[in-house]
Amino acid sequence: MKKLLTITAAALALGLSAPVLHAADAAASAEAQAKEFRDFFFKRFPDIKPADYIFGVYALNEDARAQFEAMNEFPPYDGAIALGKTLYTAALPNGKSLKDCLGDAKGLRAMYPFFDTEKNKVRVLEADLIQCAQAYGDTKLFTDKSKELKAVSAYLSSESRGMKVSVSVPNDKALAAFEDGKRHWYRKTGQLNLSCADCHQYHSGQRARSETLSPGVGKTAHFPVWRLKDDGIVTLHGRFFGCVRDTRAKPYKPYGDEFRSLEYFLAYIDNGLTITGPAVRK
Amino acid sequence: MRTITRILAASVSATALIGALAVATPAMAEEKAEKKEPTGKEIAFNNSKGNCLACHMIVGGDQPGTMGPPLLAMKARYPDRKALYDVIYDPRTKFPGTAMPPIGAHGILTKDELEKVVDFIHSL
Repeated sequence: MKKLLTITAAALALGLSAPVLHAADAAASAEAQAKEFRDFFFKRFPDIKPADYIFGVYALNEDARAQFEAMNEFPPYDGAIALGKTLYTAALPNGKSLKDCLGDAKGLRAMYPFFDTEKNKVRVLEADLIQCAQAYGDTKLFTDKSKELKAVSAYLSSESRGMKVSVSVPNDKALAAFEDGKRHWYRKTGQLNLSCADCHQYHSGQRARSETLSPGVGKTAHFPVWRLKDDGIVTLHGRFFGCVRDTRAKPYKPYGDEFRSLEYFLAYIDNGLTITGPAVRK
Repeated sequence: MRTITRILAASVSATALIGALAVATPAMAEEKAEKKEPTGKEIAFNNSKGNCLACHMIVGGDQPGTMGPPLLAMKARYPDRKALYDVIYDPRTKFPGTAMPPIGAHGILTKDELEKVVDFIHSL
């Protein structure tokens, strides 16, 4: 009961302070929430170095790590990167390319996601690629699930390898998007009534059947992934979609506001981690 | 091992049936096998049914998950079958915030399937 009262008091305090938040407060609030989130994992896995969360489930033990290194000896995603590279500069129906729309490939991934303070919207790279392609007259090549979109996504991650995830929360509206993403992380969905947090936070490191559940930190640094199970590239939103579907819910639309917020929240958590995508995952 | 024996026995009897009827196809034999009422154990182990094994160690089940506690000594833990039924029907009542799906409350299993699974789990 005392705990409940404390929670209520904390919620009231948050509610009261929300309307008067300034930009600096928004950034500080996001940082405090991110620290609490990261600390959960740092405490749960005291042996994992923070920088190693980019290895996902393969950071959890040496056997898994050895398995991961073996999978990377002949990277299965090289073909996708090569295709993405060609597509990025290829002419779309109006004669212009994605590069004309978004600029140099080098470092582009590292600039995303970000909160667009003019449009008051979270911008994610794959959604911008689709939007650019459509603006240049494309109607079928670049879509939510197309091979072409996935290839360019993989190529652009490869062109930011070694750079750091760097996401900011510039104002109140950005903080609202960050907190919306956090809500989605904890929101239970579907007949199975599971949240992202159920598997990838509270039970991370444990197994569902024979599969070890990966921790919630580090995901955005290594996407898209070459998923052995799918024998192809899976984007971050594609994976969100699959997870929500597996709870037996009708998933949100890839690149819709819900998954944009979720990506924004998770990417902020990953601030400072080294971009390593595309990565191989089971 | 017992499972293998049972599968072997089933395939032997299916073969015998095909031999006896001469016209029966393997597809028909399979259909017949599918119609057999699944046991509580089968429902508990089935990925798309109870799927208890996804999270709980159960004696006789391969590659169990570790998200939930092992299902052992259930009569000692739940002397009252009704209390166990209630937890499986909707674990949120006893364990708020749990990751375990509300097997009955969300209609994951039918009433009949649920009763069989509760009997099986209670026997562990």
